[in-house]
Amino acid sequence: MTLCSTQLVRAAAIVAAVALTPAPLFAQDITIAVAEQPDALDSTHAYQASHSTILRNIYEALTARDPVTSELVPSLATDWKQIDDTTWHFTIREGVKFHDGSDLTAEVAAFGLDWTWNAERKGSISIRGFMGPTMEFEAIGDYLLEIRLSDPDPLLPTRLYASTIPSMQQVQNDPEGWLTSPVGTGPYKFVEWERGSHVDVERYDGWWGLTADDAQGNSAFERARFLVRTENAARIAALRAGEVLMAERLSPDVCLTELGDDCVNAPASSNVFIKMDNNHPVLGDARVRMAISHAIDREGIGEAIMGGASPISQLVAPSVLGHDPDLPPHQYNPERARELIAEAVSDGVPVNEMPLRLIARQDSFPGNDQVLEAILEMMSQVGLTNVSASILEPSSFNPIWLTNYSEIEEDRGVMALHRQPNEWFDLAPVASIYYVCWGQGASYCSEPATETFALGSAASGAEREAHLKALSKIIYEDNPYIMIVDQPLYHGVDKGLLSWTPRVDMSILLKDMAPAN
Amino acid sequence: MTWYLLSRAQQSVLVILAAFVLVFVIGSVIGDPVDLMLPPEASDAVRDQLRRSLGFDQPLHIQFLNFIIRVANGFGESIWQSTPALPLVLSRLPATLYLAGCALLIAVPASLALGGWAALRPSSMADRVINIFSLGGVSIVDFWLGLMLVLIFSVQLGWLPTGGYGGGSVAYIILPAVTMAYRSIGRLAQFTRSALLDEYAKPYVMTLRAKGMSERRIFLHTIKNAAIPIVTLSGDEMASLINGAIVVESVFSWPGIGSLLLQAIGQRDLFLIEAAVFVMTVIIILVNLLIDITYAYLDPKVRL
Repeated sequence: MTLCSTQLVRAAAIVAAVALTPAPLFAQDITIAVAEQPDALDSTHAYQASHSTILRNIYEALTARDPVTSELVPSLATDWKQIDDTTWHFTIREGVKFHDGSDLTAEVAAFGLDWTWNAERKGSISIRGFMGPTMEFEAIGDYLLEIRLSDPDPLLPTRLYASTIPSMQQVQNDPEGWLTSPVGTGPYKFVEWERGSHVDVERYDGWWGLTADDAQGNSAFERARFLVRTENAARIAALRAGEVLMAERLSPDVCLTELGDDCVNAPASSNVFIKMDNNHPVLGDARVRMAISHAIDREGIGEAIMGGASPISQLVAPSVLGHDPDLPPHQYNPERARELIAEAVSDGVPVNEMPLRLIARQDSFPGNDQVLEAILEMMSQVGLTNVSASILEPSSFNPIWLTNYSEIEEDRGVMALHRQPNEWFDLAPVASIYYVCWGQGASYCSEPATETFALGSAASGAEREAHLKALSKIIYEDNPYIMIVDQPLYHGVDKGLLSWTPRVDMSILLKDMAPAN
Repeated sequence: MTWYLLSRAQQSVLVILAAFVLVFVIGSVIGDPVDLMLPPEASDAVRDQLRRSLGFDQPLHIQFLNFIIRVANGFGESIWQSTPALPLVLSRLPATLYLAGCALLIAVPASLALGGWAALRPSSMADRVINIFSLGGVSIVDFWLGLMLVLIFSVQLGWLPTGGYGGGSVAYIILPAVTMAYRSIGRLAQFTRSALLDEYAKPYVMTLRAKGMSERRIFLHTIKNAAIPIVTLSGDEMASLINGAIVVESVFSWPGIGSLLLQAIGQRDLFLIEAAVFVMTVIIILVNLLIDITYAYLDPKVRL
């Protein structure tokens, strides 16, 4: 029998396909395409969005979050209470073992926290943004941890959510290994890290959560591989080719068009807003600021540029403590905007006489250049014409962004488009930057806002919530910054093979995943 | 010959030194490196602390001395990867050289075949098709080509993986190597064609033809003479392939220097960027030196 050339080509193609296609992992295994290459795998990085998808499966913190409400719930601590203004007690969960076989005790937790927050230690620089007052950690019983603070800090349990606990045995005996071979208490233990390629983990049979009823989730997959695919298109291709069951953090437009139903919309990661120089003769006028707010078609920007982003009225998401659900986003109303500008002009506000600058930082969020152009055009349509727009390098943008109100020159006239991440689930840390007169990035100063912040940030519980909501209302009414849209987070999920529901806290955890059916 | 090689080597050393100074100037003198390294949200205190700890608050000449010491110690520690920068870059070097080498192995024979074929029958249908094909090579953006190849061969047909290194196995290198090779094929094939046509127009070919020599043997004669510029351009292509690796490696998640450099830029990791740029510069200079040496062997006039 002789084969014709077409048959030969087909046969060769089949042989090539069989020989070259990478062998899948076991059926009960999962591969996830992650967007960033981890730099180190130590416990201080577990709070970062870029690392948490990998590290939060290996490491755990004293507190965790409810996947639906984002409330703090027990994890390695079963209970905590504030003894006085500056002293807290945390009850450490008994029977928890690290992946290296060592036990979790109050002493180990104290050591791990001290190790993480120690400002002198190399590598802790990334977590310092989360630092509050100076903390001292001491085990006052086998399973009772005392934390003493230099100043009152109602956010302590939230801060501790960011801080995962490493194995004391590993840190003391093998500090280099702590950077590259993580040992935690989580449902999955570390297997292998090939830099630039992947991180492998496997189910930890000694996980405390397998026998506890408050562990929230189960380790359904035997092994997991986190495949580094830094290009958006590469993550989508890997999902479509069936190489991965999940691809995290995809750009909205491509995700929706290429993946359809398999493109999952997760709660917003951050909010986009414009910070205005409130001491400027034009931008300092409340009518002009309101006119700018009415000039912006938030729904149009959200739909056309940001892939389904929703209009916002506040700097933080609804899941954040201090968000007031009764404050609706400002309406798109160019007519009203023109009226307000006309009123301001007739009262002598030098609209269009002094130049304004609309700026954004390069790559601050996908599509920021288009949003900038759209806003420029919308402002021009309501009569604000003396505005120039530019995208700046970080080295030019950052000093402008971080100048405090008292240091801003009156004629600067900057409107800076940027985003604010929802990492804290509490308004106070965000407000301390933008809402108070002394805030590092505040271009607005109001005594009522600063005083309300002081009351709210020192309080806890319902009182804290009430003060922070009041602060949100003051800001909403003063309108010093123009809120635009949230920034939705999209993931690709092969729904035929994987069952997973996004969490409000934005984490992607293996314990929330199971094979479909 | 020895004198020629020595003078070329000396020039290369000078270029490496110039690149070394340039890396310092770009990294430390233009703009504030601390602004590049830290996110905008970082406080002034953190900025000052980092500036002091890295010595960026010192006068420029002290900074340059520190830079030399840092380079001697492996370009310092990558802030992003918490590991010495130079060994990290060098650990990625084999993957980049493997990819660029495979791309060149595809590009050179393919270009010689296509260019030679087109030159044998100028203005024929084959010549036109090859011309269009090679124009595509120089015109198509490799980022787009890579994604299209992934879409066809990985997503639709499922024959090849979408990316990754896979321990260097054949399946993983085919798509990135072909993507990189296509641009080189475009340039080299066109160049080979015109170099051969130039040779065919020379009187000695007419003499050979008049004597009745077969076209195959004439080709073997002409290709030797056309080889000198083709070798020069091939070496140049090797340098372009190493540069082009930045895009292709990122598309295919290939763990080479290119993707590392791109991520280092994204992470504002100055020391790693310096190390990667420096290593790439040295490779390109060495490739050029190699071309000069090959050139001397091929063309006796150079040795004079």
